[in-house]
Amino acid sequence: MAKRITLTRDEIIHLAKLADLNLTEEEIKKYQQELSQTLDYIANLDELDTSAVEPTSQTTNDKDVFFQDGAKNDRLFSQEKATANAKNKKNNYFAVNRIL
Amino acid sequence: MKIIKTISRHPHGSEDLVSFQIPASAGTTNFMKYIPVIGLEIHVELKTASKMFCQCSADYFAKPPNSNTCPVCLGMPGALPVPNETAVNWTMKIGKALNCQLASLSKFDRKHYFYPDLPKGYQISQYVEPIAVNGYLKLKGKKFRVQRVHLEEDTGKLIHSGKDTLVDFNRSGVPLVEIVTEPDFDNSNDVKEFLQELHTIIKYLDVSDADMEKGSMRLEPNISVRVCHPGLDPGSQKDSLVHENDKLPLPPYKVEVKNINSFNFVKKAIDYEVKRHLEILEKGETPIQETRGFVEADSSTKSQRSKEETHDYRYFPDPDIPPLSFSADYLSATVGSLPELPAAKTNRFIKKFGLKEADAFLLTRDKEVAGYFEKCLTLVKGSRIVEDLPQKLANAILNKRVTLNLGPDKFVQSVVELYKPKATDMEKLDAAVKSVLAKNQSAVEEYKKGKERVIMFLVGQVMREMKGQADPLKVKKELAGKLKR
Ligand SMILES: [Zn+2]
Repeated sequence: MAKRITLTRDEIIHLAKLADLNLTEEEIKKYQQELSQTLDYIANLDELDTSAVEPTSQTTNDKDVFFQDGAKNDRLFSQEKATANAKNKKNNYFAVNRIL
Repeated sequence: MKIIKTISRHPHGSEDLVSFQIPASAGTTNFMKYIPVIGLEIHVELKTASKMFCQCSADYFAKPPNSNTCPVCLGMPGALPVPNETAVNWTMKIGKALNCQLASLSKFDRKHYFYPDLPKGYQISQYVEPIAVNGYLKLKGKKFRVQRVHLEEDTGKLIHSGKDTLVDFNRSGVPLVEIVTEPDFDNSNDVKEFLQELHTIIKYLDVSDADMEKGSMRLEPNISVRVCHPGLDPGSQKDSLVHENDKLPLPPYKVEVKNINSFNFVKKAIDYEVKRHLEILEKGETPIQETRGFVEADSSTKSQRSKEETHDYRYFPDPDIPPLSFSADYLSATVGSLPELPAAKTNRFIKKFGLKEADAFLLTRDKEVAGYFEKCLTLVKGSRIVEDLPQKLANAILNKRVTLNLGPDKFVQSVVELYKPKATDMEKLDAAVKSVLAKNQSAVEEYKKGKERVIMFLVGQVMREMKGQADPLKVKKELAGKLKR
């Protein structure tokens, strides 16, 4: 049986801040429910016996993938292309509201 | 004004008393001991040809904004970072030079935070399995522990202008090594010396420009002050401080001063902070844990508090980058490729060439200068014209008595010319010796009574009479000959 997880209001606010999201009161309530349910769902995995499984942080079994140092221009963006998706730009810089 | 003393900890020696002035208005009860507790974070940009996870040039200096980016270092969805082998290898060299254990397994983690200089919303860094751990650097008999050396990517550059913050990602993804020390420092002088030694080591390894002005080496001290209560036995307190300062609990706060680009500024920032903390502690309060910036204009620091919360970076292994493994052969080859480091070179110069310690130290601060000195010595092998030639060459280099623009061969010639024994006019010498002996009868008597050291006084007198134009050894021989009669 899945455990019942209930995220607190403060936890939702903290998570929203980490994700850089501004939530309305309504959304906070909504996510308190929905995120808790999501965690419940994932908690189902706890029922599996993983005692014989080595922990891993990747799934490809690759290792030691490197490139040899050396600059190449073949993927280089032009200034225009680099900043093409920017909401605001100024003289080829990305521009955001002053932060300091 | 009232003076508060703090003990400065010396692992192998006596204690220094460092004085701090506290306004008289601050109320003190007992005589408290305050000991600064300082740790360091140092960031060093590597001078690889390409960036850390893509092949854009790592040389971003003075390029037009956002002209040095690609999908990887701009954090485009779906772009795949691949580690630069040389950057990993150079990080190991730094770790080894700092006496660290090198990892046989390592990996990259994602460190999440939002800031405009970070295009992906996370920085690729290393958290649980850094490339090197548990090192140290010894300076004048004191050991300062290095907690870790890890590799990460640099961020973009921010320019604050009017109502805007402008972002240039040319630097984004340049390999950046982070070196973290234990909080083993208790004064700003040791910190400065440590940083200078580290800077010299990095230059010797030839893995970074370590150019402070360009920001390729950035310094962040974290500072707090420990209060040692007078009730405790000062003896046992001192002992426990001497070796393992882990054994004492750290102060319940620390202040980080961010991104300083000069050793002097680090020293000033620490001195300012320690004094500030002492004033707060004297009132029975605890300084606030926060991040501050150094203000050059008046050598102070300023709070950069943007509502300080405990960081929650949600590190997790970067699934895009397979783990790294290093064979014993690879590790020993890396270790074997290290050059002779400044401390070893200093010792060798003292032992092999008989240089004074201070001169050997100064000569080895710049690898090029040390190399020049050794090149000079190979050119005069076996030469006995000038006594103690290595020391004289060292002096000539350090005092700039002879210009270093000369090639080593010309340089050696000039130094030999400068120090070689003067040609001696034997007739003049004979006359001078006679005159000095005649004028110094009492000295002659003493010599004859067996006080042979008097001869050096007479040598001095003759040299003076000869206006320095004589070889002191010949003078001594002449004098001895005449005195024996
Ligand atoms: Zn790139």
